[in-house]
Amino acid sequence: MARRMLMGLAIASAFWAAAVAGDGREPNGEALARDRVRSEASLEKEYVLGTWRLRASWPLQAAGAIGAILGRRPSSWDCATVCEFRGFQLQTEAGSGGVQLTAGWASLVGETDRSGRWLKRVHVGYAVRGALMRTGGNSTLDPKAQTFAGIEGTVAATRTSISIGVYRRASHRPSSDPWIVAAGVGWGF
Amino acid sequence: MRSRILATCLAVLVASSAPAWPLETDQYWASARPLRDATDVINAKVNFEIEAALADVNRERGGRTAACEEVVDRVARRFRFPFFQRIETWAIASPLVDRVPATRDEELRYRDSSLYSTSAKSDVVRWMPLSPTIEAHGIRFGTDKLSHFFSQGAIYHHVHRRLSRRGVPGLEAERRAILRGTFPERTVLGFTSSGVLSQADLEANYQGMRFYDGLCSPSDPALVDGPSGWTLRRPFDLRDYVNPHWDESWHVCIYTPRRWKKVVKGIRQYCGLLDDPTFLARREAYARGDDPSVADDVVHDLVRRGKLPDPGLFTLERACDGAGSAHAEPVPTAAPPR
Repeated sequence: MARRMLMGLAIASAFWAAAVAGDGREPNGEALARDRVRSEASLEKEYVLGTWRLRASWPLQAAGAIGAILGRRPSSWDCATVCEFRGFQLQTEAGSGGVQLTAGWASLVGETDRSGRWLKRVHVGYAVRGALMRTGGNSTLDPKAQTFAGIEGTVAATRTSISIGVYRRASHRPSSDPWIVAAGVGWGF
Repeated sequence: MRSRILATCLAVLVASSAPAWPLETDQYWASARPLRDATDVINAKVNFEIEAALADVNRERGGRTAACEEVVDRVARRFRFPFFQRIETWAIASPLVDRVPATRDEELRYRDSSLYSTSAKSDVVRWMPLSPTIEAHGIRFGTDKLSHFFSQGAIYHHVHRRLSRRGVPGLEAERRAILRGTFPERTVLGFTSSGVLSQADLEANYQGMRFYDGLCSPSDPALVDGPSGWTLRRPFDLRDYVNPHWDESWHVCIYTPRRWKKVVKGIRQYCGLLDDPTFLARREAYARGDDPSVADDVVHDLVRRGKLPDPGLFTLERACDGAGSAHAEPVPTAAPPR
């Protein structure tokens, strides 16, 4: 409803501008620009942007992730070139040393592929995500199969991303340190 | 364990807190293309963001009086994003701002044919996309100048304010703030990292400092605290700050000898501009409005002391040896006229 009202307001502004110009008077550039900026900021659309990353990490070893950022941006932006993407990111990752599911906030400046659906290139960005990790396979942990919950932070620049996470063992093992620090470096976001 | 967590957080914080990335730009590339003036929309956007920041401050303070400088920090934060500033990502993405390049294909051509295209793709100057060119108040500049204005400008402002509080007199405090501000440009954000020191970036930083200084200026503050909270008494107007020194084809960058060897080949593709009436007319207009600047003075001082090479070595005329299009090299062409 609110969006329709705003759309109506934007259309009315455009008619007003046309009417002013039609009178032969100089259109008020500043007022028009103000209306356009306000209209741009208020008319947003939701988007889903696919993300991926390949990385070497511990304890997941060689891993590949696929995910999506769900966000909002002004509906007039086509993001054909460099664009800012911000929103909730959900990502699933599988590696030779286990799997993990992450969910959290991501913010980046990057470019999409021609379809506009996938992140092609991240210039700079960061993400803070809650993570649930299950190790296994080639994991160097003892025992191999363990479950962890934690927080992962990712910083990316020029397509490369570095991530560091702090995890606490979910399963009860009184004899060892319940905390681990995970880290990885890779390609993508 | 706690120390490990702390070290992790610190590393992430340091990596993400840099105010601006060394983005390069190429105003020669866009020279043949007419551009719609963006002054009104940039003013409208900046005033919109300042008003939003003031609304936040007024809503949150709930009877508590916020100091003017606290409000300035909130305004600065409104424009901030690690590395790229929000105002720049807006200028690159919004259809309200006319820019070159504007489309995906043009963007790719820009990367492959700008004055930096003669460097290898792995070269640090090509790690990040080049900033597109926009026009405001008759001046052409890269969108990175908006980032410099709002991010580095805020840093200059804080240094300037600190120096003024210590009793350093007006112009001297400005000069010292700029000199300290040139440090990142001479090191991590410029000369040492990429071999490029942008005089235009320094000018935008300085003008940004003037803008932030003016918000709480004791004699004529743009922000006032009234019964309904903080308001903007004097709207932002880019015309008060933008000048020909923002255009890197006029106020050229300073390069290390190694960088210049590569860049000069890229610049030579533009030698034909020295015979182009539009380009020459723009230069004449620039010359008429080219007032001396404090930032310029600081750079000239560094040149006199031998800390920087003379910018006169890096002009289009110098690259082309004053011979116009005769020296144009058969390298990729700039943006064709629409």
